[in-house]
Amino acid sequence: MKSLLKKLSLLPDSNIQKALLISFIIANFCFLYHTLNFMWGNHDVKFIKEELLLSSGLFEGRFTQFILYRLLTNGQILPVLNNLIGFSFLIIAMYVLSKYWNIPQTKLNLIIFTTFFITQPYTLSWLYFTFITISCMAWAFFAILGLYLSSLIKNHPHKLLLSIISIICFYLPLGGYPPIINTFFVCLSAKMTLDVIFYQKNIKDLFATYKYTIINILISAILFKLTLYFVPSDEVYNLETTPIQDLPNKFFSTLKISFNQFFVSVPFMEKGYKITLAIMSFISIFGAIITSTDTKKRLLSIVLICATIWFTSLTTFLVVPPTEYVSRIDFYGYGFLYAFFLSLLLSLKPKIFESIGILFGLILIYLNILNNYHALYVWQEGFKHETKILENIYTRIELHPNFNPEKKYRIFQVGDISLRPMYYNKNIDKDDVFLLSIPYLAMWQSKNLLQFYSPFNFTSDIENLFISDITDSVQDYVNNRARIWPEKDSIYIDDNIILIVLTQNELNKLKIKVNNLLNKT
Amino acid sequence: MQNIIKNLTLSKKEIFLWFLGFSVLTLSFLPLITNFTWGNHDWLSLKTDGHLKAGFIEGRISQYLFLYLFLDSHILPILNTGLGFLIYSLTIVLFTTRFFEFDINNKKIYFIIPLIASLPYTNEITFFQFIILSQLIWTFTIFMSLMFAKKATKKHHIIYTILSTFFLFLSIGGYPASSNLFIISLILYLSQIYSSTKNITITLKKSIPFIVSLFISFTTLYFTYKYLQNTGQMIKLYNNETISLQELILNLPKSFMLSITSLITPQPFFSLIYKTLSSFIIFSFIFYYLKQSSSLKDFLIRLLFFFAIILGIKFSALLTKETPQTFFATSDPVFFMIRTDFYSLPILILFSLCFLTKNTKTYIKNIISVVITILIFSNINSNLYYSKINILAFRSEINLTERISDRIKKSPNYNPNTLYTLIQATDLSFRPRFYHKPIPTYQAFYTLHSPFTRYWIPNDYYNFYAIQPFVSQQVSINPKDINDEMINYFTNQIETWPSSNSVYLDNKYAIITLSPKGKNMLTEQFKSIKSIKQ
Repeated sequence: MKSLLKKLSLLPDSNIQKALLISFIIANFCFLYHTLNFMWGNHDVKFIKEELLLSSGLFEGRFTQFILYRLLTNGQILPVLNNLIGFSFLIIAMYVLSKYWNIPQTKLNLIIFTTFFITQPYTLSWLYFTFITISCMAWAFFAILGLYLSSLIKNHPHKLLLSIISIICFYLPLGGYPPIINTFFVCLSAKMTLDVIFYQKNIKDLFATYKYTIINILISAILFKLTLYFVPSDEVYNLETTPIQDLPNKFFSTLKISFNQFFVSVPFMEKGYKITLAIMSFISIFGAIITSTDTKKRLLSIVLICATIWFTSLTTFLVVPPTEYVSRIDFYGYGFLYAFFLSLLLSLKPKIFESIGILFGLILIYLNILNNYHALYVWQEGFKHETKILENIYTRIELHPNFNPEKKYRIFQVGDISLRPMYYNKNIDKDDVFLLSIPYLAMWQSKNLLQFYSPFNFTSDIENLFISDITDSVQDYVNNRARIWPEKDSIYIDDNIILIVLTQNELNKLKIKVNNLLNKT
Repeated sequence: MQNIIKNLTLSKKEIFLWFLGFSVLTLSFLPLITNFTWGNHDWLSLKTDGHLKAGFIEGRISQYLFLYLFLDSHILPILNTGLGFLIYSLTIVLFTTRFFEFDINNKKIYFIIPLIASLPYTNEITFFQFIILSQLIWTFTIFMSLMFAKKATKKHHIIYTILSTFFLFLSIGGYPASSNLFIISLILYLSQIYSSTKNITITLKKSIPFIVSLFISFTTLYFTYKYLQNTGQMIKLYNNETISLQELILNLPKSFMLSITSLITPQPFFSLIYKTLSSFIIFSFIFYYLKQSSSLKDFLIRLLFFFAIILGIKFSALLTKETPQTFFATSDPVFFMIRTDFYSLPILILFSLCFLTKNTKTYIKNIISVVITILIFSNINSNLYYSKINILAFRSEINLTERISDRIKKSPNYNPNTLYTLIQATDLSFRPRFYHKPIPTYQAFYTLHSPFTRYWIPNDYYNFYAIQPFVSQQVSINPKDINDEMINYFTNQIETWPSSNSVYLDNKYAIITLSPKGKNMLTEQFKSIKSIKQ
């Protein structure tokens, strides 16, 4: 193993090992509250209790998503270890990235670079759903490893072997979470920028070196698409790609989104924080421009920087559903973009820029820790409060005269209650569902939620409301008697179904649905 | 004096190994440590602290000693387990470096120590907060006993034997099954002596202080039990009753087979892979130990050691009567009790690994390295899985207890000034509901099946969070109190939870029927109580 790492110039010396260990400790400290409290998100309920299978992601085309879980934790979501393994992958990813981008390998540089990236609040989005924490953090590692190995192909004797390994490194994350494609191109474009700025490369040189990377990414993308033909996936929103005729318009809209991101505040990344990041970014761009002596190279570097910025919205460009300002996608794009700007500062020749980079790095790491602890406090209070409501709902069900724990009921939760926003009072430009607004008590998880702490197996796996369910009693309840939780008539139970009414909006929709079903008869 | 200080000082390598073992062990159980769950015997001790004599009733005379010395009898989150882990991980290192004197310049030791520290036998030890500290400290006191006996073979024979006896008595006075550690360590030590000297006479002479210590401490314990029973401080319980010598000898072949079976039979949190790999280590050691024999006599002596090891790891099971099926006893067969295996198997695996990494060919050492790596990872996974299940099930059971409590207090008959006799008809154990694997034959009661509340001590947990106590210590219906209302309830109305008729409340009794088994139990018991009244 050591000799292999040495051949690939990836063998860390003792200083680097210490730097990585310090970064790992800081990263774990930053998210310690999450690690120790074992919080989970609204997709996780069944998986926390049971296990993750290799096939668990197939329905949405995520055919590699749970390979690592099966290998490392036997399909279990385990407290503490889930986060530790995820952060380990990120630490190694950032080390390889520091090599890929040729950041000066001093202990301080590496600590700041690595810690800054991992502690960004974008990482929170991968802690929210514990069932994909390990995979989605590991995909960053595979992506960067693929890029690094591809960059070695030009001068390497084993071109085919390196290509195959790189393609696997790109293919695995695509099969797990396709927006990783943002990382491929942000990091690649950043690398090219750095080559132009520091190594005076021209377009021809860049093409000669990085054509292999692009080819490998293309091959892995084709393999990914081919695999989707054979994977038995459902008709899900996140597999729909943009029609070709819409691409030109989308290019400009995504360009605008990419540059807007510098100033748009989102939960736990408020205005002040974003502006600090923006200032760091612009100083590094400024530094890159003024240190460049050749006008052509200067122009080329500006174009590449703009391309790097645009690539943060590559997923938004390629798919139909709106994915802009979504933190877990921005993790793969914007997270690396900011890391690139920091690395640029740390690498620029005038010492002043390195000092500015270190200063910004330290300030931003401090702000990251602050923001993350704020987020985790908000999450924990929301989680506790929503869990309390769930307990109260369950108690009321148990007390209901019609409830029989021997039966199997179909559960219909009418509306969600999301309480994390109650504990967050900052002004933001855009919401983020994973960082703040989606509920723990999601409608479509009601049967798993109610079953979680119950001593009885009283929920059915069938999720449909049938015409035969719309008895006179149900009709009367829905149209006349139903009230919103926690009022007295917010729960209805008969022999087949349990209705839990949480919001007026959804109750109105239910009324329409029930009446439509009746009209069909 | 200088010698004493030298003996007490740890080298840098020992300190590092200690830190390594402690870190891996703590990591494995970190969720449990920080979430502070507790077992079904802990409720009263958590509120009122464990006093020194609390263990006398079952003959556990020193059980609360270290809780008193280190934590002022308080059961404290993090400290209770953290301190226990600190001492246990130190003990593992000391066994390696001071008792068995294995070479710690061998780099594999940096993997062996964390492996031993993280073995899943510890998980059952963490179930009861009131004895975590003492159960873990007995490993250290046994170590001290062994070291003094070992030193007694060289000089100051009488004083060191007395000290050895003292520490052994202290340990078995707290938990008799801790003697497993003494026995198996002695056998392994003697096998080591025999291996180096090839002289059975010298080997047997070396064993004298150990045997004396064992004999005196057990004899003293026997007379202590007699005294406590005569003074009414101790009752005869299943777990302090032993079989006769004749039965012991007759049972030896069966015991031997059961011991082997237990090494290879999966149990909850001890998967088939784990059992396969751990027994591979143990049997490989035995194989290579036997292979070292140079003559038939040598082989036969080593074979005796083999039998002694297999029987020695179940020493307490050899002596104990099979656990009766009563409502307060565990339902684990004595040969499959994980908390007694805690005192024998880790040290055997430690010895086996150190032996194998020294005395075998390179390819075997490489295989062992792979096995060690797999097992460390498997241990951490298994312990964290155990922690997760405990945390989630604990929350579920507390929630259920709160709902029941609420139902009682919302009843129109409820009087907050009454101390009710609460009869809860059985428990609902939630841990198996979160265990998403096939549950093997040997159930591991405290590891998986035991609930966090026990229905025969309802006053402890129902009063735990109550503003004022509302449940008395009585747990049975006095036939004189049977009235028409009660008769009507048991005859016509009784249902299981969560039905409204699962809770009965009058001016004296609160009866909760939690399960169909509980319903049957209650109705049968009521019939016999009613017949007494009649």
